[in-house]
Amino acid sequence: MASEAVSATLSVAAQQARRRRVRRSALLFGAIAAAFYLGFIVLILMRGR
Amino acid sequence: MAEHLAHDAAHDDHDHKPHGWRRWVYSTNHKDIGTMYLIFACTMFFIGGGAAMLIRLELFKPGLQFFDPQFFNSLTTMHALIMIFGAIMPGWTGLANWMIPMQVGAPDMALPRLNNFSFWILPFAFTLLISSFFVPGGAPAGGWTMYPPLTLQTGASFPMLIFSIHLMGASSILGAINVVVTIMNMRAPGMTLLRMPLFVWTWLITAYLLIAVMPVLAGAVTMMLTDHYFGTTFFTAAGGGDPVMFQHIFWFFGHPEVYILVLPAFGIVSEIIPTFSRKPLFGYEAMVYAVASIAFLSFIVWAHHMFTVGMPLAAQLFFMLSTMLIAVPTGVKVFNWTATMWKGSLSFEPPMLFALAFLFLFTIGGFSGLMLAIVPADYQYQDTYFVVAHFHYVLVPGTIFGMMAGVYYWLPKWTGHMYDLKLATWHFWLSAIFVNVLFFPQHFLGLAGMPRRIPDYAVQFADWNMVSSLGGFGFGLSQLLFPYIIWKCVRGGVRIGNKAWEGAHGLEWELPSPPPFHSWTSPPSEAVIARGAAH
Amino acid sequence: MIRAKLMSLALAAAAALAPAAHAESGWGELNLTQGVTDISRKIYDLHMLIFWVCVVIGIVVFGVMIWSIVTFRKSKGAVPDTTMVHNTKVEVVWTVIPVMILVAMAVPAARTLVEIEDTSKTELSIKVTGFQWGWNYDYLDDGVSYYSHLDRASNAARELDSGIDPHTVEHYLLNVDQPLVVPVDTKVRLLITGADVIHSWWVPAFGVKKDAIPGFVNEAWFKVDTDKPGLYRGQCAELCGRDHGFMPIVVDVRSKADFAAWLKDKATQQKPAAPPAPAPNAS
Repeated sequence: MASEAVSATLSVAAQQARRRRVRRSALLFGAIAAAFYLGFIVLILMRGR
Repeated sequence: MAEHLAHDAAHDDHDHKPHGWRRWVYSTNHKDIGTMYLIFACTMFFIGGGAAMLIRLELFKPGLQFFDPQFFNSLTTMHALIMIFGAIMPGWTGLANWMIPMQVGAPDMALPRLNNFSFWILPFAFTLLISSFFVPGGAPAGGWTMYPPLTLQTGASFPMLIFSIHLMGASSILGAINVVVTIMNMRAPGMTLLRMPLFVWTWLITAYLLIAVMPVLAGAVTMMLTDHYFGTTFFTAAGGGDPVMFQHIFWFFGHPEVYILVLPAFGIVSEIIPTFSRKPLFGYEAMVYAVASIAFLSFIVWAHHMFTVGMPLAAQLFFMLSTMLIAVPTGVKVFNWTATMWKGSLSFEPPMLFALAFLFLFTIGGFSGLMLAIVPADYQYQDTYFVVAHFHYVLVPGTIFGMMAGVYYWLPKWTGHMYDLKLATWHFWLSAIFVNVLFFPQHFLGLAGMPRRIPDYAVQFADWNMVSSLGGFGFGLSQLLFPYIIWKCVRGGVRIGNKAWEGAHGLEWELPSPPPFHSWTSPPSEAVIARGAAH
Repeated sequence: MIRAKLMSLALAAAAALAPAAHAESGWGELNLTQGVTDISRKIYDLHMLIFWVCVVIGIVVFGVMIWSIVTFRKSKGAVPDTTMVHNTKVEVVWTVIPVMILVAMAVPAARTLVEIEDTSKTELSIKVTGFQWGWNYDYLDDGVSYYSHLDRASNAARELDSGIDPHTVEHYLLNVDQPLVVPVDTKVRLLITGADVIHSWWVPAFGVKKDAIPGFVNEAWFKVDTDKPGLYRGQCAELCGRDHGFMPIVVDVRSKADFAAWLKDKATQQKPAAPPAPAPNAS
């Protein structure tokens, strides 16, 4: 790889912060998906009443 | 995840990789997973294409020559499911896996093990789905739209259909989460959102659409499952349910799904046209906003798929107007692509040829889409071959050509070799000619009154059906060139440097070809990012 | 076996492409029917209007694309203008003009839609029930009710390997045993529903397509021109199972006097048979 293409590596602290952000946002989107799934079923159930 | 990053940091050796089957089955590498996705998509493309060939064979002339009508219905249903969920969606995910980390300067996807999982769900999902051909009652035959009550009449393959949809849905939701999280968190410092390549942008928006609507489809089929086995009556009128409600839920998923299938193609075309025009994309920001507004509008137009179900006048007017509105951002995109070519310096390598065919033929699909939006006219077009022609124009020369353009654009990057340009040009011309012979006559058939999803037809439809079938066989055969060209390129060819194309910009072209197994283990510098951002 | 079939297909292709065209040639069937009702003609006009609008836009857009492809070629020494990255004025223009065109098209479309949805002042009501696979017609005010299926000749020819050439069958797949009979110049209201799964009642010449949904009753209407009695054909337009392709619709439009005579005759025929015929087994 061309050496000019590389800047300083991310610091360990930055990597850890990124890992936390990744985990948090992945769980958030998973929760959103689950909410859409259940939400629509509940919506139809309520409508049936 | 934690070990993975530590592992990467510890070894600066870029090309060490596991060997044998473990490399693939246990893979957490975005390039290997991307390759597996692409091979899977290509396999499904040929299986779904095989179903299409059988459909065109039966429709070659009037009268039933080959198949029982029920089996014919299974063929149309499975053709659609396999092409949409097996070929196009995994194809895009494969390209996303390969390109997004390289394009945003990330070492890999944000969630590599989840990535492995979301790929390996797919072979199981499709084994389940395709094996339904061999159970009593045959494969699902109620159409890919799965409208109840008809789909509730499905035999032993009913639960197989539902669970394979669940699996595919889970796979694409997980894949989409991975893409969003990667783009939001893994960009190299200095790779701001408005510097990202359009392919990354369109995929980001596609992934949001997927996260919102795939669960809705899963909910709909779950309710159908409980209707079938647990005595609920969500969609059964006899028990106070509403079969039309299923259609509303289905198309609330289904219309954004249409854009899930085509937005990444917009992104690819937005990279290829500037490259081969040797000129920056015209109106980069307008392109991003256009994609975002198309995605937003896609949530409020769903009922245009069901104008004949008997909706209130106000609802029909609303869905007509919102649908017509989509023509505005779509028009902006077409105009911007055209303006990118204006005063450029054009050359016509295979990726550009496919992108240009996309531009012309997708626009034709857009025109017929506009016609379909006009409710009174839609009463005549609905569920005829006019609709079949419309969505195939959008999906084949639109999505599929866009995907092939992308593969021909990046294949030299992946393999380090230039492919056989002459053969790929042949592939292009054969595809572009036959796709029109195949689908253009279907406009005539629909207007003349031929309904879709019928195995046999009145004799006045015979002539154009024969033309369409001949076009279909020609198109199907021409596609065999595609895997052959790729195989030949993987095996060897003229070596290329970092840049495969003179006018290419972007971080992926700053890496060697083929890129190391782990690329951008240290993020690119600001200078490199600035050079890559062409605008 | 398969090879023999493929051979016969090849022969059919050769026959169709040969100059000796057969009786019912389909090469000329390229466009929507104008139909025989006021509404169907309005739909046709809308269809042609939007078609020509698309053609004009297409000529302009494709013209510019082709011009670019021909003119700005690297092989002809074209030099790229890399400063051309955006132009707000142009972008506003090509956003606003499409909006204006769309509004211009939405207005007549909405007007026609309002007319279509006006189901008031109907003179004859017929209940149409789609079932797997045929139609039931019920003249609500006159106690006349009967089933309509694919006719025998088509039904025999459409079997797998029937050996009957569809070209020899009159109105292959578009003929029924008993058509729906209606008078000209009468606003006929259809109350459309489904017995088992969703079907869709479609007669292109009337511009009517409406889904037949179990548990729901949809309304549609048509009024055939006084000078256009005759037979009009359509098909089920919503996938409804194995024989979806084999449940055509035929409407026999008669003069008012003929219709009245037919209805009276039919009513007396059906009187003694107290309960209507049982619905055919749906499975």
